[in-house]
Amino acid sequence: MKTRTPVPHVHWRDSVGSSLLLAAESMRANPGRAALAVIGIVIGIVTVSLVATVLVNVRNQVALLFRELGTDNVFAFHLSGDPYSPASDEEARRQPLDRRFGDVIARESDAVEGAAAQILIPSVVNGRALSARAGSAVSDTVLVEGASASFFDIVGAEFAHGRPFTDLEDRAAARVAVVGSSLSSALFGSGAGEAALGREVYLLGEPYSVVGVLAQRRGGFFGENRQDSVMAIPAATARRRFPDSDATVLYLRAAAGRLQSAQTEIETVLRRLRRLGPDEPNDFNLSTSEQIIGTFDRVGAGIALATIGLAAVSLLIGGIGIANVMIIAVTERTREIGLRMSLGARRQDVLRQFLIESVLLSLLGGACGLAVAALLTALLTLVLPGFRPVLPLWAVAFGLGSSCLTGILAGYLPARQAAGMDPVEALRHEAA
Amino acid sequence: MVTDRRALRPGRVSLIEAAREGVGAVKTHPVRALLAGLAIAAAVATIAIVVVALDGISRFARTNAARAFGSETFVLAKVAAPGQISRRELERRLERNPNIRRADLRFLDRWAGDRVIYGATVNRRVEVAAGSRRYDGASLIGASAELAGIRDLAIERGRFFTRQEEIQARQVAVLGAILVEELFPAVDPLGRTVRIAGRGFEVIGLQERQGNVAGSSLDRNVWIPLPAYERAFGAPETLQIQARAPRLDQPAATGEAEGRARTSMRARHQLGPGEEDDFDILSPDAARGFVQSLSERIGVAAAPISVMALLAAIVVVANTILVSVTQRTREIGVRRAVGASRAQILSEILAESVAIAFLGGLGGVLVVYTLVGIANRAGLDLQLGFSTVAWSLLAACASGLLAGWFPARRATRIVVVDALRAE
Amino acid sequence: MSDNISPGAELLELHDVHKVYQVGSEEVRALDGVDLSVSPGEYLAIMGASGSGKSTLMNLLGCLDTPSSGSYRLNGVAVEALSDEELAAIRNQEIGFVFQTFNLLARTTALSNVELPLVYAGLSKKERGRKAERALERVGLGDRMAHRSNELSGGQRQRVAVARALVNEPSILLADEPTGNLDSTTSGEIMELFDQLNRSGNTVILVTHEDDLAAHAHRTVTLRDGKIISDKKTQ
Repeated sequence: MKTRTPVPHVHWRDSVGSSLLLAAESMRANPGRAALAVIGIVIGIVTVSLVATVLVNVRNQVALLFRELGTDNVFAFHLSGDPYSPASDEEARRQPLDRRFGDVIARESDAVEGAAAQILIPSVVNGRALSARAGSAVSDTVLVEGASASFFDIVGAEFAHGRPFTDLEDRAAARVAVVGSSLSSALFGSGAGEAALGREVYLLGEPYSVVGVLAQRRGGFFGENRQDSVMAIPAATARRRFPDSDATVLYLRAAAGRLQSAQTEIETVLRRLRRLGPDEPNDFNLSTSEQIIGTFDRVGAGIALATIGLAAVSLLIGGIGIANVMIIAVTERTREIGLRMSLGARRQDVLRQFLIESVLLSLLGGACGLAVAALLTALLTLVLPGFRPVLPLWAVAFGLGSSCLTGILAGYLPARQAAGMDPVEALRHEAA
Repeated sequence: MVTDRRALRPGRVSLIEAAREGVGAVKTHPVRALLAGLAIAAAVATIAIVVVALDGISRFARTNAARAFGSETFVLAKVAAPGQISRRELERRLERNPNIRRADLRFLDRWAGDRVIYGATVNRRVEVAAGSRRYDGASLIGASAELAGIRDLAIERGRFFTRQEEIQARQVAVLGAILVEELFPAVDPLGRTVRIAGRGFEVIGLQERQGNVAGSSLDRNVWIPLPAYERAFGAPETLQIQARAPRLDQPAATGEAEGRARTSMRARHQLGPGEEDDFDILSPDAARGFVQSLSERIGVAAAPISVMALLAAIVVVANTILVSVTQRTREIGVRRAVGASRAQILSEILAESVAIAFLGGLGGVLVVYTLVGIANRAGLDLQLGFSTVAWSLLAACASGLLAGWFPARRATRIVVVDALRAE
Repeated sequence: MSDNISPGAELLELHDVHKVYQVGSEEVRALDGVDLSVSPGEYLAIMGASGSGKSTLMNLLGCLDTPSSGSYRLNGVAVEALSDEELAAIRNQEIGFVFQTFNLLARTTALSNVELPLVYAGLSKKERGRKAERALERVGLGDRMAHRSNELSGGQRQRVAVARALVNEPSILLADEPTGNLDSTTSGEIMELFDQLNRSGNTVILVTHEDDLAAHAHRTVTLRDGKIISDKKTQ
């Protein structure tokens, strides 16, 4: 009759626990080796984290830049792409939009609540470079634009001081201006604040009275937002003083939740206003902040992937380091493995022991790496303009997860080799 | 045998033997050396790939610039590159610099000797018509006949106008590829007439398709002799002068040509020795500059990332060598006992480290070489230069030295007596 | 071989040598005032129980360690004043070690093992090969030169070790329990080899705790508690 020897039931928790203890022991026995293996993972995690943080940061800042133009707005322009860039050859012959189209659209489309027009004025006019002068201060990075009275409301611009133009000022082509925060600092000093109101800014020799100062923008591209250097004058004034500048951007605010239908309706009206036949393609461009961000994301995705890939090589190398250490450990502890097996350890126990050791090293590296990355990110905020520390929970989880995975992958083959040893051979192995 | 201290010859460090011992040590434990080498290979490959990519971008920019601009052509103008200077500077130059006229060009020609060839251009946007077809948005360029010798105008069929035709202000024209397509889709343009500003011009040459440079097409040009341009549109406000050294066999030829152009122009404007130029000279390098700076900026971002990879690899190698030293403690003791000096032991350990790193570096270079081959077959134009390979291998060896340093120092501090007694 | 020393001069002179170790907070006096002179061509056995200081004395004699105080002149050179590198040079040129555990390089041929001191002496490959071959022939292993150390028996390995010790023609052969890891037959063979080497003129210093091994030597020095308690000529 066969009798079955009851297999002692070892709870997996105890097994894992003892494996952890053994792992800690072996790390203590070879601290230099363990430290170096951990450092390899730290370097990898730090590199990937920092790169990811920078990329996410840049992207968020850019997204914010575009969202500050109004998330419920549809932008209409006669060219595609950045309005300040020169026209591509295909679009070079397109005519600019008429500023009055905005009001027509607002009237005819009920998904559109309001409209504003922005007239773009190039930085060099008639061979003369535009610069803004106030007393002895000059700014030649000023961005001059004509804006209808409703512009600031439609765009949701925040004023630090003062007010937007009134309708009257617009109709009368008054020489008043609303300036961006950087321009105000450049012309009137950074602490000017309200004192800028009422001061005069000279443009092409003519004085404009400041009626409003915009708050500093939050979004930006590496800390710079050209909207902060803007000098907005009433649209009628712009037409009078800069008659050759006619590039007009229309800002059309959609009613809440009706952005899609607004876009369709605007397109219909514009096609009619531009007298396009049914087969003719649009000779203008419509977009929303989300669409622009989407384009940016698509262009940026490739760069982001390549950069992260580059950074991930460090993590891969860290993993190689762990694998190396584990292989060495298995070889050195061959006799010990044989001993354990002869004392009753099963193959899966040996496998588990080495896997846990590998994962422990990697997790340690991952945790330290995240800590170091957090520290460096904090330092970066001091150095880079507009950089905001972003280490979201998902990034932490990803970091720990990938180091865990690295540990498992790196340690698997050595662990299997250890588990596959013949105990008798192992015991006979000469001590390394 | 020695009888006094002076005759004692502390063993000179034999690098060859150290190298042998180092390589031997690698052969004894191939697996761990392989992994460490793999780490270095990955890091070196990363660095090499970044360098190759940046070089590719740079070369692409240069070829592009050469197409738009001529690879050794420099520009002399009132303001040469308005987009690259600040607005204030632009305004200042626009005010300060006088317009460049044909008389200036004649002056320059007189003082050119055989060092420089000059050609002038002026351009504007026009509508070109042929029969019932119209093309709006062509770029009309009034040019000197010399221009054909200064830039590669890629004349596919026919020819550029001659000096004679220029002097006679003949109304002849060379068309760019898009104009040919749009205006003469079905017939041979050569010999036919196009109308520009109400005047008829005979088509004498056709350019081949050149594509786009920095977003604008090179194929919408119409070239007519400068005097003919002046007849149609009046004397231009200011000319842009393009120039080149006639023969490029001397390395300094372009520099000399630029120098002579500058001196001539300064003499023409009667500038004293301390006075600033009142004209712009844009040398070929500067024109290529801005795409170069883009690739430099990418390099600045990619460099630290690659360095981190190398650092991680160094750590792996260091660990491997550390283990090697620990395991060879007794052996190191024996070597010391039979007379190896500490310096010798240091060299032997470092040799092992450098051997691993060098082999890894070699592997990395091979990987990149293969990748470049694949990419080139897929249509890209990349190059793994000799200097890149050399620097990669150098970096690998340096990494080996760095990685092995600390463990090697440990090895020299092994107490012989203890090592021999150790179990 | 010590052939350029004036007759009567000693090969090796220790005078009032002390060696003190710090073990934790305690001082251990391993050698407590040792005087010893050895002439060229002597066959000396150093005996003592473990802890007597014989290992320390051997390390000192072999220039693996320096005295805390006292003087050690080897071939007229004051060893206690030498730098670490100079000591290495002495070990290379003057001392030939034979250890209890052989201490050969694993996975290396017998020839390469024997060549090792010559590598550090800076000899060319050809010269090294020549000298190493001769040394191996001298210990009777001329036919085993290409064998790796793990392919050799214990006795053969020790012979290789002896060949290595001899190859650079040292002043002294220092053997520390050379037969400790060998069976009795092989032990006999190795001791016979040492006797032979001494007969052909080598100075042999044997460190052992076994009387029958010490009996091969012509003079026995016994240590206890770091001091020499007896120094007798036995043959």
